[in-house]
Amino acid sequence: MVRILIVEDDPRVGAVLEQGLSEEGFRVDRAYDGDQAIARASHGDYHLVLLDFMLPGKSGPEVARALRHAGRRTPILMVTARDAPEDLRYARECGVNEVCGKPFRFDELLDRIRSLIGDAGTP
Amino acid sequence: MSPRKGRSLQRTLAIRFALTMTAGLLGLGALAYVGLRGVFGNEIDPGHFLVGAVATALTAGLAMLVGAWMLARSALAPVAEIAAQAQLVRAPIPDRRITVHADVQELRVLVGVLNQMLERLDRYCDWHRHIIRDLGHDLRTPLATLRAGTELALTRERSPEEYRRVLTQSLEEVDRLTLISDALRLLGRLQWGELVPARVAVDLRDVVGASVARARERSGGHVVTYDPPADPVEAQVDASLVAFALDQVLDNALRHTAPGTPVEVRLVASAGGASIVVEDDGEGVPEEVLAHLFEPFYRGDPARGRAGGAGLGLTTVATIVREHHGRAVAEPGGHGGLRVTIELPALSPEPALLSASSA
Repeated sequence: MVRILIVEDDPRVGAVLEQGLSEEGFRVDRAYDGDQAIARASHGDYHLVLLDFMLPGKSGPEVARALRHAGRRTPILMVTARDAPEDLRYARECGVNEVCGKPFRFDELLDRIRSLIGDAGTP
Repeated sequence: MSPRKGRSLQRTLAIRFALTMTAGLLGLGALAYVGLRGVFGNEIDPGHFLVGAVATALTAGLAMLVGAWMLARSALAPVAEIAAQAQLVRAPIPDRRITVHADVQELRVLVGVLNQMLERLDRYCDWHRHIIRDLGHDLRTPLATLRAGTELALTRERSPEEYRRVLTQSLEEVDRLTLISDALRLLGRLQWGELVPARVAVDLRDVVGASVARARERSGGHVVTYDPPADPVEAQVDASLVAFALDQVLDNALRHTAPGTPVEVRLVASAGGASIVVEDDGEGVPEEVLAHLFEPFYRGDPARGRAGGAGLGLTTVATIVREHHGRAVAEPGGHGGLRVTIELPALSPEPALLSASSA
């Protein structure tokens, strides 16, 4: 089963994502801050990390950078309300693969997730 | 009246100067005639003298008109330069200032005043730019929940309980959007003087207690502690505004620290008034961010998670406290987190102070 780590400090956004992805057949775990995200993504065998930009503690891009430095190549899809060019550039520099702006269409988010995880994303 | 329809100062100065000097010369000619007649008697021909004097005065007047015209043009050149530069000022106007090579004190004063005005406009535009840009950002998270939650609910047939849960969630997001709207409206009304806080004697223990209860309701597992003082802590404040401010400080602590983080609220009475302290045990705020924490939507280094903007909440806090002649202070907490203190004087006419300290 495809495993996705949702890193989102907003409980409501996180809950919606968790429910939607679970219903689509993904196995979902949650992390609520940057350190939790690094710990779980470093040890868990995830096919994708769905990452918020602004998190308590380490920010989303910092999490991405830490994972890349640790040699993790897990695709990272950032879901963020921050879409200023400098923010997006910074996120990509830190190792984020793709960015999806908030508010998002859930079917489009699913398309991006499946595109990033490739064949593994077909339930 | 538009500048084109007004009188030309350069032309007016030149003509008036030339006319005055010509009249003066004619007056001198008349005096000279009287003097010469006294010396030479009838040998002076009045007709010849008059023609000579008038011709001399007109020639000199014409020369003076040209000279005065050029002098006035030279003196007023910096004014044209100021006008030309002022025409280039457009919002936003970051760092655009008028520079004129004028050696005239009055013009330097004018340029100084205009540049001070540009600085004020600059700050005003900057504030509004931040508000508009970042408000769009802050609205996106509740909109994302509404959008995705509703979309998800419609993807398949669900039980009435599931639909009820989605509708309840939507209602909460509407409340969240309403809070943002309320903060914006309140800030605007306070800033433009449309809302003057009422001053009613209240026991701040009630205000703080109610605010803490609301925070506990919406917290995601935080441990919000509050031990109210045994004696009443009275202050003359607008209770609803102070409650709103405290809600914002608590909301900031809940939103920017991980679930389970302790958040301590203290109410301390003092001789001059009272202090409400909200201290969390989170990761704290970088020192460079502390100084800007009360600015609208301040965003520090994007690498720092908590620097990612306090929205309008803390700006509203600062404005409300300032309206009460109090002080809002942000500083490192005792356990490495953030401590925000709202200091409210009993009733003080002293000017408002707002500061952020790292001490």
